[in-house]
Amino acid sequence: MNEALKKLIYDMDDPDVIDEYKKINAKIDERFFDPLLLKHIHDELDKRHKLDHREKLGVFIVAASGYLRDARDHCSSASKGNSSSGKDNLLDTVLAHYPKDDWIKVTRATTATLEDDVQTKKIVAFSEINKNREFGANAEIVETFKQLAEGGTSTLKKDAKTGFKTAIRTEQKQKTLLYGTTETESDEELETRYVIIPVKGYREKNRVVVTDVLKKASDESFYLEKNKHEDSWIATSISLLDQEIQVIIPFSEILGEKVGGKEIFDTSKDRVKRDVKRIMSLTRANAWLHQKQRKNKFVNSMQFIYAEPSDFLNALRIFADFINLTYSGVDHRLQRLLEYAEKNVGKHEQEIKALGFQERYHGWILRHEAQKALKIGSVKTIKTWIQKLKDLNKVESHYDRYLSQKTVLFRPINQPFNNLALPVNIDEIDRLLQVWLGSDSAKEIYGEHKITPYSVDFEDYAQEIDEEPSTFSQENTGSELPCENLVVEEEFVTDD
Amino acid sequence: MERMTTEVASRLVKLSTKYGDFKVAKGYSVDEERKFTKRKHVSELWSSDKGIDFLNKANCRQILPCEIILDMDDNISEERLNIICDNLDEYGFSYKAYATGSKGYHIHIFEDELIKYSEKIRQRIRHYIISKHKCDGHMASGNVIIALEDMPHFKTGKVKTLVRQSR
Repeated sequence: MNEALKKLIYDMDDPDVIDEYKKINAKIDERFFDPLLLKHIHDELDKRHKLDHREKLGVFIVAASGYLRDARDHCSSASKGNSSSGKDNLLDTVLAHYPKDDWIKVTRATTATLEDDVQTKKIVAFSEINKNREFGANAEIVETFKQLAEGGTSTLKKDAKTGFKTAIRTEQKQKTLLYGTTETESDEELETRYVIIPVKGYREKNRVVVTDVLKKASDESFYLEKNKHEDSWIATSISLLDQEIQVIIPFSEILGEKVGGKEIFDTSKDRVKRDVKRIMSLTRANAWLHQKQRKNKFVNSMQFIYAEPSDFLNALRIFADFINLTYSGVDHRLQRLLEYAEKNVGKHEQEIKALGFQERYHGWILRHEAQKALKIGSVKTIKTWIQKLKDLNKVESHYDRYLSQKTVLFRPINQPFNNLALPVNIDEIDRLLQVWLGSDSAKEIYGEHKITPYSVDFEDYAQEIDEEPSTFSQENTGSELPCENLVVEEEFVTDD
Repeated sequence: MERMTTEVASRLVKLSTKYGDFKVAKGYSVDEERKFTKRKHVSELWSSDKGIDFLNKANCRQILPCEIILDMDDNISEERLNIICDNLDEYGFSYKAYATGSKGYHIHIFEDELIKYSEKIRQRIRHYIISKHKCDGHMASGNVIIALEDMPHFKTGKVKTLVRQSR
């Protein structure tokens, strides 16, 4: 690189010239050659979006699937959560690490533009889509969005350029779409097409974000760093990765075997057909990102790279919970309420007895106790959530206005069947793949290529929400029960 | 003279092999008026005897894609030339400054990396450094032809001579 030309170009301060200079001099960062690549990526994402470790890496890998050679491998994700939970920031953080020419993020678009004008983009992101709400954001484009996310679109339209005398046909292959939504309703068609990634708001997260904002406000180096406008090393490297390469998962057939008597992919569920494709695509995306470290082969003018077990296992470690959550058909906030109910059956017996409810209700859950424990800000919200769980046949509720006008009981309805998409423990699958790695067929594929596995491991910060609350508002409970020494300090923002 | 023009032909071919094909022409004057032959590609000329003969007589060439020309056509002085060259030295550019044999100076900056840029961006880079040194803006275009180095100027007959080069 010639320093004189570089100095001249930076003196010019012309964005187009600087862009071309950067493209010409771009190099794949050495971290793309490191088995800890996912950790390096996570560390970079963490600078701008605190916590949500699995979630942000999950959205990042979904976005990487948009670069896979076969359009059918392009996955999509929906980030679900309350407003102010950080969905938009998560999306922005991930996109900032992809080459800016490859994606577009909009707050609003029309069906026609989606069909015609995003051809060159690998990733299309929407800040918000709320399908089920009246006048919900971008509700009218949901159908096109579904089509783009699975199979692509093919449209025939009158051509304005010829005075509408001729028609033009536009085809778009399946694309990677990312969006955020505050809705708790589930749309089966949407959820089978998207990896649903819950973005939760909780106290620890608020504390970390507040601390970070306060720290930056007094830190000159933060503004100096921000002013540098340096491109992300991840984005630069991604722009230089081979996009024509085809990923092979050499151990895929092993995954059809049973582990401990259980299938890795439960074939009794219809939607497992989509889930298995999705996990394979995300494994390919993982391997594609690691292409500089994977065994590759050139066969009949086609370049192949061979995924390693860690690509699959890390896809499971990051996505299994999200897929299982989607499988239950329950939004993560409702799931939390349901889990609370399941854990606390019988624990409110004394209070329920004292209120005079009949014996058959003694093992149920007090709604206001659940609201208090889960720090749900308003009665209206918990009422709505319980109603949604009732509609899904997950809980039943009881109310006796003669005993107490404000006390409502509910309990989970037992559903003994296993509802997990991936019922096998990841460690057991790891052991199965380790055995395969020692086989002759694995040796034939990888040869002398050195395999250095890396497994992603995050602390589950979301568990913070299970802590006993230190504060609570009596006014919010709608209960006649006494709540002593309670002060309002925080409240969830809800959209109802 | 015959030996020198043969050297010119092989020098032009070498340049076109290294930086890609470019055009050459022969300039002459008729009654004090500047005239040029039709411009021809070096690659095209190299394939015939007639073409080689043309190459041997060429005294102008197109600006190379790796080249920036600072043409001092106004306010010409050795002092100003040195100021510009000092500035180029500060940047660290590789250059050769010539007295054209006519009235001014040509500073040829050679920067191999420029080849990698699109013509549009190359022109912007040329334009920036030309304007910065208040030289002839026409030289920003890659289509301009200039007097060939170490060759007699077609109008005055004086050889375009090296007067300074990068440190």
